[in-house]
Parts: sequence; C-alpha cells; structure tokens
Amino acid sequence: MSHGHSHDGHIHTDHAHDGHDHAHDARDVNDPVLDLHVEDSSLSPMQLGRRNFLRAAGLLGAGAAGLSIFSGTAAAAAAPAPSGRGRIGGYQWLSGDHHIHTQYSPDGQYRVIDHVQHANAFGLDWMVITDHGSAQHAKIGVEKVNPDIVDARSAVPGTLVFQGLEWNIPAAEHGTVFVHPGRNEVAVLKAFENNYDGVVTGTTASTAANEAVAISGLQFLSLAVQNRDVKDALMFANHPARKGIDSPHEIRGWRDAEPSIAVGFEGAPGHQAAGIAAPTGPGAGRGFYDNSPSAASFAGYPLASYRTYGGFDWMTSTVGGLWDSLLAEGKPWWITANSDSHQIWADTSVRGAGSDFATNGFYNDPEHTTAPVLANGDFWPGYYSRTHVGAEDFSYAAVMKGLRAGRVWVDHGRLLGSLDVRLRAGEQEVPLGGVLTARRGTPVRLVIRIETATLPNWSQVLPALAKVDVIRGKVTGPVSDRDAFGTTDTAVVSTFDVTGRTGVIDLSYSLGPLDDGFYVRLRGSDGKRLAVGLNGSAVDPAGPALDVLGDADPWQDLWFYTNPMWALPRR
Amino acid sequence: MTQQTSVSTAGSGIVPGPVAALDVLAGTLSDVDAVAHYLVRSLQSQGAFDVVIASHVVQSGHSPHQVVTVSALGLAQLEVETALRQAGADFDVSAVLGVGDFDGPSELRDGLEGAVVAHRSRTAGRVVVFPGDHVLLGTVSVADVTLWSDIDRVEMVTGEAVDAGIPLVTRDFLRPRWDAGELVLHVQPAAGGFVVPFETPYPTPCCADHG
Repeated sequence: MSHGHSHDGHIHTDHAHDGHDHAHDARDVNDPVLDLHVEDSSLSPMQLGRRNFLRAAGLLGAGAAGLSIFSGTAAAAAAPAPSGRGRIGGYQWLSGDHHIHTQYSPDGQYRVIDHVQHANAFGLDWMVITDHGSAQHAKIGVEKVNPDIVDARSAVPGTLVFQGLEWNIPAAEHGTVFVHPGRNEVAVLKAFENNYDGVVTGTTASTAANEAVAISGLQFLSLAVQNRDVKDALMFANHPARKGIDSPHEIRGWRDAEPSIAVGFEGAPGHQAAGIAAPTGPGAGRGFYDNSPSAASFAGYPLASYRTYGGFDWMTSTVGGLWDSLLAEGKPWWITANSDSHQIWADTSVRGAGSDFATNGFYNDPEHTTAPVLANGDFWPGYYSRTHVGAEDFSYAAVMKGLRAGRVWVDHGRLLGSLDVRLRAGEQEVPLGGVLTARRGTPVRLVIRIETATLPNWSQVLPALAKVDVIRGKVTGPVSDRDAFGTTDTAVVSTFDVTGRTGVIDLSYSLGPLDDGFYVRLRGSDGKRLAVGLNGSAVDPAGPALDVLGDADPWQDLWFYTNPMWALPRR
Repeated sequence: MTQQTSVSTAGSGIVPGPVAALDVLAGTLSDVDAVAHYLVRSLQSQGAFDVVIASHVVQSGHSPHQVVTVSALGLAQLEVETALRQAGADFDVSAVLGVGDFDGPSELRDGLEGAVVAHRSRTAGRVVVFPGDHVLLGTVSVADVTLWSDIDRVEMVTGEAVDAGIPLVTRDFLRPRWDAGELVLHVQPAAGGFVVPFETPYPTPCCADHG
C-alpha cells in the first residue's frame, strides 16, 4: 500500500517503508477527526462535533478524560467478576512477564518455544515476546517471529503468548509495546517500529523533538485500537532508572498523552542473576544496573538512582520517590516485574553455530554445550520474577484489561502463595488499582489476605515472608513541576511482623475516617536485607538495601510489591 | 607532577590558577576521558602541576554533550589556553574558552562559560584528573583517599558515611564529583566486604551481549 502518512506530520516524515503492508487502510488514516495531528481549528464544525463526541466518550487518546483518578479511568467502583474456581477476590490471578527476548534480538539466543515451554513449566499464564527494535528486526524479525509465536500458542495452550516489541523509546529508555493477537498484530507492530522506534528512525538522542516522536508513537497505537486494527495495545517503560534517561516529564508525558496505552513501568528490572558473585555468576550489578549519568541523562537524578534496591528500580523502591510522586498526583501508573530474558544463567546451550544476525535478522537455533554458562545474567520467564494480574477470565483481552486497571502485584522468588487486597469504606470496596470514593468521615480499612508459599521456589527453597509494610501517601493533585520525582507526604505507616507464620494470614489495618484523599500500597519482604530508605527512617525505617555490586544473591533478598488503591472524598 | 610539589586545595572551595575549557562535542564519558588524559600529559610536559580536569554536561549546541574544563598551576593562563587549542591536532576541537577569549561557534559559548564557573567554584563537575589520583591505585583504605589526594570526602552513593577502615578497590579508576565546594568520591558496597567507586570503568552497554 502506498498511501501517504497523513497522520505522520511530525519531524520524520520520510521513513523507509519497504513497501510493507500497513495496519490500517487509507480510510482510517485519512480521517482527520481521528487524526490527532490535525488541530481542532482545522476541522469543519461537523468534524469537530464528531471529534468532541468521541472525546467525551473517552475514545480519543488526547482527550481530557482519563488523565487521572479524578476523571474515572482507573477501575472506578468495585465490580468483582463472578466468583469461580481458583478465584481470589473475584479474579483469576494470572502470572506473567512482559519482557522476553528471543533469537530475533541481537543479544538474544533462544527460540520462542524455548521461552514458552520454560515459562509454562515455571508457572506463567501469560507472556510477551519483546525483541529489540532495530533495522533488521523491522525488516525481518517482526515478521519471522510471528509464526513461531502462533505455533507456540497451539503447542502450549496453558500460556498466553503475546507478540510485542522492545521499543527504543525516542529520546528515552526501552519500553514494552504489545498488542492483542489478531489479523493485524504484525502489521501494526511493524508500522509502529518503522515509524516510531528510536533506533530505526534515528531519534534516540534526548531532544524535545525526539520526545515528541515518542508521543506520536503512543498516539499511533491508540489510533490503531480506535480503528480496530488491533483489539488492544499497551506500553510499559522498561528498566526506567538504569541510565537516568527517562526523565520525570517524559514519563508524565507518555501517561498523559495516552493514558489507555502507556500504563506503567518495570518496578523491578530483569537480569536478576547479574549480581551473582563471580565466578559462579556474572559478578555484575543486579539487573545489570551499573551505569553513570551521561549527557543524555536527566540532570536532577541522584547517583543513587542508577542502582537497584532489593532488586527493584530506584523509581519504585524509594518510598516517597518518583513512583509515589505520580501516585500522589492521582496519576494511575502501574509497576511490573519481568525477566528481560536474553541468555539464561547457568544454561548449557549457546547460540547456534554459523549465525549471521546482521544478514539474517536472527541467530540459528541454540546448541548444546556441556559447560553451564555462568556469565549469563538472566532467569527464564517465571523462574524468578512474576507479574500477577487480576483477570476476569483466562484470555488475552482480560490480561490486558487487568494490566490497564492496575489490578497487579509482583513478587520475586515466589515469595507469596497468593495475595488478596481490598480497600473498604462502608459497603464499598475496591481491589488493587481501584479508586474508592466515599463521604468524608467514612472509616476506611485495608483488608489483606495472604497465603504463604506452600511449595519451594525454583531455587528449591520454601520462601518465608517476614514482614508486610503499609505505605500511605496523601493525594496532592497535579504537580507544577513536571520533572518532580518525589513527594513528602508518603511514608511507611505500619509494618506487620509475620515472621514464622504460615498458611493464611489475615491482616486488617484501619486507615481512619476519610478526610483528604490518599492512596495505599503494600510491600513485603523475607526480611533478609533491610536498610533505612533513601528518604530517612521516618519515611522508611526498614526498606530494601542497596544491592551489593558483584555479590547479590537474588534468592536471599525477596520482595513483593502491590500497585496502589486510592480513597477519595466524594465531591 | 609529584606529591612534593602539590599544593593541596582540599576544602578550599575555590580552584586556584588559570581555568579554561574546551568543547569537542564529546558524547560519552570515555570520549571525554580520552581528551582529559591527552591534556594532562600535554600540560605536565610544559611544567604544569596540580592539574585538575573535569567533565560537565552542557545543554548548549544541538544536543546535550560533555565539555572539559582544565585548571593548572605552574603555567600562565595563556599557556593553558594554548595547550587546549593545540589539542585540535588530535581531537576535533569545536570551541575553546579562556579568560575573555572564546573561539568557536557562538552557540557553544554558554555551555563552556557555565562549566568554567562550576570548575572554579567546585560546585559541579565530574573530575577525571586531580592531585593525588596517581597514587590511589589498586586497593587503598578509605582514610588513605582523603590523606593522599584532593578528595575531601568519601561517602556511600546512598549518602551514608563510609567507615574509614574499609578497603576501597579503586579499579584504578576514580571519578569524584564536586559538590558545593568539596570533592566527593561516591562509593558502593562490593563483593568481599569492599567498597568500589560508583563509576565503573566498563559499564554494561545497552543491548550488550551479556554472555
């Protein structure tokens, strides 16, 4: 198809299109009502009326709706799905991983089926294949990986396998982009990669113009969903603090531009075996977090932001840090935990001999070698990092819906058996990610049910939960400084010592009568490595410790984190 | 440079002697370090001592990049500036800023001026060359660092104090930073009960072949 990119009126209008099929046809692309690059003032009154109608219905990405919890995009009232077998809190909790590389990545190794088989064996219900955006991938990999994914879906029906991309976000870090399976999944991903990948389009430099390209990419995805080219699409930022190049205003910008597409970031990066001491492991920084500020970095970030804490990214691990500053604004923004699997620690396979990635766009299938490769820094999907999503059913759509709603908690090393968290006020309650509204003065209570792990994890150890922290923050509304990365009104307000307890642990915590709006989130640990948080002991007396360079045994430092829930006074 | 001729500026808050800056539009920390090591050899061969060379991120020009600031004792201002200009034989020097003297495209001037102010007042900058750096090799104690070099303070990257007796594995690569008039070396805990500098000589590049 050779239509012009009428929606593509930003700085790079001259992409290599390779004559690829486009996801959407000319009718969709040329509809100025849906094309958010066309200003309102350029539309006819009739067109503007149609656009405003879509906006009011929340169907246009850049509309005013959906920017915060106040406008009701987040899971509004409690609407638990019908109860069924294995349901907790009305939902099926499906474990997954949205960050996995295959032989179609220049630093990858495995077939799709290698990952899917392992992920299924290690207990994952869903996963996203995310090879790096690159010239080779845009030309070859994005298409060639699809039949492998389609085959894996039928070979391993117990695990949902999404096709995605590790997007080189223009002007920023990497991010996961993925779509609901369907007729156009490849076409949409390919068009997205060709037009908006930072490496493919030469827009990686940290400039304002390139930041705008990132926003255009998210708008493209939103449009692809509105046009029904794909049923759904989501974006998460990956390893956000690794190099300091995801500035706070960029993160806010992604979320605010397309709140239904850009919904979160990795609370914990992958590469969790990277800190295992040499010679048994790579002896590097946990998560391969070992960078320093560069010219591309946001100058305001402290050096402490470039490291991990209990395996988690600084933006998430810091109580009162960047994540909390978004939540205090009332901005729904969710965390996940993923493997970033490229090459598995102590695996006994290597890349296929005679590979020519530059020419072929993939490595030949892996081959057996006798020696375990101890310099690899990753775990198989499901082996260590899990993102648990409260889904209405076992389906691709339900996983995406649950992720978008923030009905998500994460853990490392199978620290918990299960987790059910509700925020209650009177007759109402909401699950993780929810927004509770009640009259001022209504008592608000946090109700937690934990089932401790009953089976050993994949290091053959039965993990033991030692404590659960309740973190509470005041909702302070939108910030004036879009580069703010902290809030002073968030702290650990209570800690439950559950050392030695097994089975079902019921916890209840009174949050007092509802006054000003607030949010709560939970965090818990095996208690093996604790330190005063970066904002001091009054904020976080026993948080995750700075990971030791070259000596971070991931199995001896396990944490879980939940996404937040808000309570707001009814206006 | 020898230890005997060093005039310690530790804690003084102001860098003495001539200060000048140059812009080679360096994109990476290793690019900027290469320029710094070239300059220190050049200046020392002309008799300079207590050479301090720092890098600073500037927003001037087309995109953010690193510039280099230099101060030295034993040479006149003009001699230092001349040495910076002569670096053009080996590097693609885009701009040089001296005292009341600027060569280069005007859009690069602001960045260099700000960097010179930061260098002279020791308020910001990543220091690549400093008095005493050549003796802090291998493993030293944290106490040795402040005793033997211009570094004023060693602290954990998280801001906590570091026990003076803890061994510091320098990896022969120290990049302390100026903070409010002090030269601070940030360190992190490392395998074996040691601490190592925050900045590693060989960071994991993006999309590396980790294996």
